[in-house]
Amino acid sequence: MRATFLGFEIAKSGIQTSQTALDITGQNITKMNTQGYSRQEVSQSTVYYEMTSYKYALLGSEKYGQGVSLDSISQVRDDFLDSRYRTANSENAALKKVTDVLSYIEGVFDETINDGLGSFFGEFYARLQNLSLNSGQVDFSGLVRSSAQKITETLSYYYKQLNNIESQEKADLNISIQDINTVLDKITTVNNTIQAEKLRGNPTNELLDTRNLYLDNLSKYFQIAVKPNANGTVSVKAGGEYLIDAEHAATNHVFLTQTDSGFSLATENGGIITDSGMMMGYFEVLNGKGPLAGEGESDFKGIPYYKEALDMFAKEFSSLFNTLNGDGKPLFTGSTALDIKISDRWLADANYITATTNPDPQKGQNDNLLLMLAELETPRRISQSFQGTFEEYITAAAFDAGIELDYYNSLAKTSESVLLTVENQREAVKGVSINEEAVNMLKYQKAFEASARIMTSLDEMLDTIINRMGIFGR
Amino acid sequence: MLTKNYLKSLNQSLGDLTEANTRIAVKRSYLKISENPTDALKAMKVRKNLSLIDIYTSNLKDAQDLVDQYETAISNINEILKEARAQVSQGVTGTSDVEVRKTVAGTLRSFQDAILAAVNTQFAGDYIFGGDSVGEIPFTISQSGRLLYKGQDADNGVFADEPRYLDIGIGLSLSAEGGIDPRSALDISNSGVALLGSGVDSDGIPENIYNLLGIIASKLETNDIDDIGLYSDKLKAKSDDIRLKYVSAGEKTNFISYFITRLESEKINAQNKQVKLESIDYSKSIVEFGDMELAYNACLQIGTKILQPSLLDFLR
Repeated sequence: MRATFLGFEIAKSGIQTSQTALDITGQNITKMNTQGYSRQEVSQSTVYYEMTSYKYALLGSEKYGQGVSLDSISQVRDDFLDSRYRTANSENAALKKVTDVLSYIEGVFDETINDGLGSFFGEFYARLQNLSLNSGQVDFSGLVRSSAQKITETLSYYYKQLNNIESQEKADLNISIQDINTVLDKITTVNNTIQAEKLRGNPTNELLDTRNLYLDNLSKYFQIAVKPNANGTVSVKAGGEYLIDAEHAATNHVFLTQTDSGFSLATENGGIITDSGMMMGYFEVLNGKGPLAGEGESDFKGIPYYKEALDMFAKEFSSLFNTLNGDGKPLFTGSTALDIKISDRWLADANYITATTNPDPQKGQNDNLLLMLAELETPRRISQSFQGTFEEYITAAAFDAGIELDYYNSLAKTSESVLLTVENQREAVKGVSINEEAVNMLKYQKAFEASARIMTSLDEMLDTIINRMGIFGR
Repeated sequence: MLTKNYLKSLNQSLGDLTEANTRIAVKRSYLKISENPTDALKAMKVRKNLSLIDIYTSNLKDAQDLVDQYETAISNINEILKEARAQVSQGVTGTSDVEVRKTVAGTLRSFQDAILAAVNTQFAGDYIFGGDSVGEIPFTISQSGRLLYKGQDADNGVFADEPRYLDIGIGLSLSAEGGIDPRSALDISNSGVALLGSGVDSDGIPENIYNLLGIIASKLETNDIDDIGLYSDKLKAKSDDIRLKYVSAGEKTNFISYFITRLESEKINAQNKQVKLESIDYSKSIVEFGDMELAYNACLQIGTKILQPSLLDFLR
């Protein structure tokens, strides 16, 4: 026989579940725009009829479910999309860093709109031509000297600008590494909290959101592999090394190491291979020696490549003109881009530039100047990977930066749209849809009303049984 | 998600609009190499070419000025020699008496001075007949009245070639010996001694016009005219020689002006190419700008619709 008050429990479970579901709907709606929040969902199931758990078994009557049970409140999240997002994020961050720095480098060399090394060099050549017609005249040789001075000053100006970019990037790199270590600490803290709360049986959804946000953050620095552990914590690996080994409660901070081939990242346990992420971007631009790279070094055309290019130019240019000007009569001092200067003697006397090889020079003799002009137009090996004239060399350096930037810009665009697509896919799963929540709101509200109505009808039913039954003839 | 995407496209659209605007403002089709490396590289080559054309044109114009001066001086000398030959033939005729001969001799002496003045002509402070050294006066007269070129007697001095080259864009290069290859540049030196002649011939008659005139004048003065025929023949030969040099100077002028014209047309071509590569097509750019503007405005308008009301607004 059916227990008298059996239906009340069923109605109560319906009311309670609807209330909780409505709360979660409210939670979803209020956190709609909270960064990192993932939609939560109430899962419900039927309460089974179980013979053994009831003291007064329902003998001889129909057997049916005993209302609804609220199983869990869970997050809607797709781990696969998370990992795709993080991969795309680290690729995009690498390209962004590279294009940023390349556009700074292009800014140094580009003379599409401004005058630079190329135009000063052209001016030097033109003035040398003028001098060849007016050799020995101090105003004309003075013009040549001032053009040469512009070249030396521009060389060292370019070099200093590259130095500025380099030191800025190094400073940024150090800040990034600090940030990585801070994020690692935060993840470890959240890991511990999640583990503890889970043991106590408390909900951890919000903590998971926080941790996922940190992991997203970390993924822009390098490609990470996230491994969930049974106790609710996650372990994080990057470039073959554990950054967080939650099972052994170890957090390995990263630090910068420097060798001859440049900077790299390491933990106490070993070097991290950075083949993606902002860290890779930093290392490419700070280590890249281009075609001058040796075995195992970065052949990206980074800051060291352009600095070396300027040095090579300064060295070849000063040594050529010092030789052409005659033994012991150097026009330039210094042989690097940074320290090349007009020699003191030339500075003191514009006519120090040798116009003729004649030991008794006469006004009008210009054979040595013609020699200089011819040498300027003669292709020579200026660097290991370049054969051509000085002017072509300058153009090539500027175009190296421009062409690389163009290439990486298009890569960055592609990776950006990939990232956006993945982000949208992920958001479609974990994000809050206001329409869906509105529907849920209606649904749970009606369910609540209906369960309450059942309660009322049960009450009326009992009222019938208690107060109106068996009063016949009273 | 919708809002984020919207903002991204809105920014993109605004960026495109600004870029189109900048291009029109600076009248260039690209502002950085990376925007269009191929065109930028081509334009760079054209720019270099243009600057070379300018250099060579300026060099050629300077050379032309020099040749013009040279031509004027030779033309003068040519006229003088014509006159001198007439005078000499007047002086050597048997009918002329001593007085006439003395007058002729005096005229010849004044011609000597005129020739000397012509070959010591200065142009812009330079002695144009100084060969490769133009700073010092090339011709002087010795105590004995003989012509000295840079201090050496024109009759028995040793005179080397005095080239003075100018790069005019015919592939300046070095010869095997290390100097400038003469075929790769324009020789703008004019050696006065090469013009007037040097040394003496087998009869001991000077090849040099100045000295020759001097000797003829002295012979007329001293009435020693037995072998004057030899000298007047020499004078004729030398004046023919000068006329030839006068003609070839004209050839040189022609050559130079031909080169200048060629460079000028090259320059026009290069400039056209540069405009094509670097400048914008106004009508096209403005239409593009209009497109961008339209797109941006459309984007803004959509914005009000994108942040649409949801189901919530329709519930009672």
